[in-house]
Amino acid sequence: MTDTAVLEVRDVHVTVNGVRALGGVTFDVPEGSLFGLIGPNGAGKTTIMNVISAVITPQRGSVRFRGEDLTGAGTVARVRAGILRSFQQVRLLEDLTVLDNLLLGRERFRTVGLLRQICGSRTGRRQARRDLAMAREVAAVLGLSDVLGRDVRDLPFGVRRLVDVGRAFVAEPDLLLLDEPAAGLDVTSRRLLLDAIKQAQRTTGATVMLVEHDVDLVRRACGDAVVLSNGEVLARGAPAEVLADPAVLRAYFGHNDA
Amino acid sequence: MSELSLLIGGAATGGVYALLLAGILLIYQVSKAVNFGHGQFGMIAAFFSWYLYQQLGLHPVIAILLAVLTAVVVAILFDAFVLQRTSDRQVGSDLVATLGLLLLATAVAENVLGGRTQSYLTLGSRTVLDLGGLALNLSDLITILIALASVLVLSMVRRRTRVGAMLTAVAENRNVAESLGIPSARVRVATWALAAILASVAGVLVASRTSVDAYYMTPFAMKAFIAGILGGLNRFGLPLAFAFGLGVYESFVVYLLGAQAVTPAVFTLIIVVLAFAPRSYLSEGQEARA
Amino acid sequence: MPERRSLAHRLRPVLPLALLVVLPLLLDSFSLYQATMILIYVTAIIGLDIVFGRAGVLSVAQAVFIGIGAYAAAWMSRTTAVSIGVELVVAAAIAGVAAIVVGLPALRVSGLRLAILTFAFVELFQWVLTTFASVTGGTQGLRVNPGGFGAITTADPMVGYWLAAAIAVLATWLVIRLRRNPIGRAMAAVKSSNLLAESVGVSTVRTKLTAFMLSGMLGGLAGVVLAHVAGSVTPAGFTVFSSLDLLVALILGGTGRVHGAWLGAAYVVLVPEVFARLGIPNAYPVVSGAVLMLLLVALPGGIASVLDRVRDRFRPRGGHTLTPATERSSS
Repeated sequence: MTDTAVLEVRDVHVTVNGVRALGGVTFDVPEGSLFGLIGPNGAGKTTIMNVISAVITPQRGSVRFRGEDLTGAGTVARVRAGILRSFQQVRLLEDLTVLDNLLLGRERFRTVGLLRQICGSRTGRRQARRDLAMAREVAAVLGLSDVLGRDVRDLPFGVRRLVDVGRAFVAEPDLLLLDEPAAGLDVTSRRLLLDAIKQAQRTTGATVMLVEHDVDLVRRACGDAVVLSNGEVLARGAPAEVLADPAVLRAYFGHNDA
Repeated sequence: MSELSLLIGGAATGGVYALLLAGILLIYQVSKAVNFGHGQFGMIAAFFSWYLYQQLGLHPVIAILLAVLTAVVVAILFDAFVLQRTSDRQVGSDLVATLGLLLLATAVAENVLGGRTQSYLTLGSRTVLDLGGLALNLSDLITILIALASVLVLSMVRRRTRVGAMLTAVAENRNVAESLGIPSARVRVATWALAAILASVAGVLVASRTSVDAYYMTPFAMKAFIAGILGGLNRFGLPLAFAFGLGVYESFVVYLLGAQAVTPAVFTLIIVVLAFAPRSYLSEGQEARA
Repeated sequence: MPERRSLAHRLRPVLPLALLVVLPLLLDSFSLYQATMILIYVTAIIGLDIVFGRAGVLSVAQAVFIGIGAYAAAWMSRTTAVSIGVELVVAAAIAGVAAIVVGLPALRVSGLRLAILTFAFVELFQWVLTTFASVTGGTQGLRVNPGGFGAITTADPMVGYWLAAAIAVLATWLVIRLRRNPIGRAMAAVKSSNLLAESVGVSTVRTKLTAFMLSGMLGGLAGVVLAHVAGSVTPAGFTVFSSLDLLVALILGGTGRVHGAWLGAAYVVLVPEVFARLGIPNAYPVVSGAVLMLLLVALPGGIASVLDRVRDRFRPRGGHTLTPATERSSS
């Protein structure tokens, strides 16, 4: 892949309730990479995700997406620009079906206003067809085709998680932030998810940033990684190197993975 | 009318708001529900005590005590059997439940009172004291004293005692509080009881100055809620201060602009505060960002 | 792939519509009045359902929008010679704008405080009505002149009925269209979680304001019809308790489903009548409050959810969805 950075994080400082969550975090995310964001608990991984997706505003520092400074752009604006994310906590529309939840992901492309939606329009119908096609494609990749018509509420956690992540894919993101997507999944679902992520990446050229605790998964899947600890960047580079770095091992002291 | 007497009159009304609001805040912080029916606890106490002393001839003090007890029982039962059982599926179902309480209490009262207004014990509301040339209504003074005392005692209990700490703990995170051995269910019952008592006091005080019908507490409860919005339902001291302040504000508005101007004046106040307060002041109970 | 709607599916609304048209010919004048009131309530309740049931914003200000529609109609019928069509459009516009104003605090204030604020707006409305008595008739209110198109006026109760029916059908169509469209999903997202909504690119502000606007417009329309059918408007008809009545009806009938609004409307008009016939008219508000609480504990989905469950027995592949019928069957 090219060397251009799709995302540039520069000197980001975040203080929450008097506690320093991030102190001067700087790193680049290369275009089209499957990028790992790892570190011990409390390192600030979710915080930096929140900054990139504008859920929090940093006290200092900036984030550039394809060269453009995102400061001042809210979450909705960033979503429309192509930055999508999933959360640690699965958030779905409980009363609706899997298909509806997936279709929700297509909101970022919505151009048809209220009146035209209500009265029906050609553009609206065209968008609806496109939405449906994309949703079914993603569902097929994630193994959700059989449950498209089921209410999300009745489904087991693993499937719900897949729907949650699927919604992000359906949005055809340029940059996809996945916050511990595999947490709570069984081995088969994990592999399925990982394969889906890699496949989606290959076909769409999207860049994926993955926050993960499963260091093994990161080692296998990611081409590039950054390690955070205590709100600071500890190391940056290919997973194999980074995970051999003594500083990183020290930070993970107590965890038997490295 | 001197400024001082306006101030005192206003503070008395504000005191009523504060008594109501204190209960609303307790309930909101511990049970996470806005009790729209709160004013009716006061109405129940006033009206029931009226019934007891007027129709049954009981001694007023006993009547009031029994009535307050009734309000407390209603409050606890409502919380235990209705509020705690409403499912979380429907958003705002706790609000709707308390609206149901409002409807029910009002309707029952209307049926018994028959839509007539009644006059209540005067409790010093007709007595005017002369302090250095200044005419002060005894009821006003009593109200202010009771309200201030209650608010201050509550604040102290909340901040300095173990009971207060338990309250705050349950308010912040019930599960964690329970795992620390705090009997959250009992704390909850206690807050509803206390809130009902405060509302009852307010109800009796107001009843002694105006006549009682099924709806008489509604405007007072409204203002208490407004003070709550302005000060923040998650705080304690500030909204109560707003409650007193609101009473004084209204008093001056009436004097300067006439009674008609009160509603729009209060409204303007709300709009100004909501429009110009910084976002961090206004946000409460942010959803977890994980 | 084009949507394929079976003939049976397309014909589904025909029967109820036919019934609606034919009904007034079968009823006596009092029942006709009741049926008309039910239809007015349907429109008002659907409006409330949009903002509360679907977008998740508890607003007790619905009575304000109905009141605005009613008073606007009253005023126009007395001082101008416009047809009822114009009255409807104007009322809907004013009420819609008012609703946006009520919803504006949604930009800065959470749902809870917004609910309290909507409470306050009703008080403000009452104040306006009683203070500007020269325009609004104060506490006495105003008489409403019949409106209509030329010779066809609401002086004839049948006309009132058909007007109410037309508006109710419009409201029903509107809310069904909402559900089938992305806007319905957007509202569900906003109702569920602000964070979720924003993370998929739904503007919570725009969605909530849109919901308010629609609910206001429907309230305004209901108000116009109400004014003409009742013949007069007074402040007492548009209080917080009026809003609460609608809320009870909505919750009883079932939020988020269009037949919930119809069921709720029927309840709110017919049940008090039952109590009146039994000689205990005052029992109704008492029962309402109790019913509301009971429902929330035992049956949060309202009557509609019971009906849904019954229907699901006969159609195991149930689960309502916003997607066209073809998708449901192919999954």
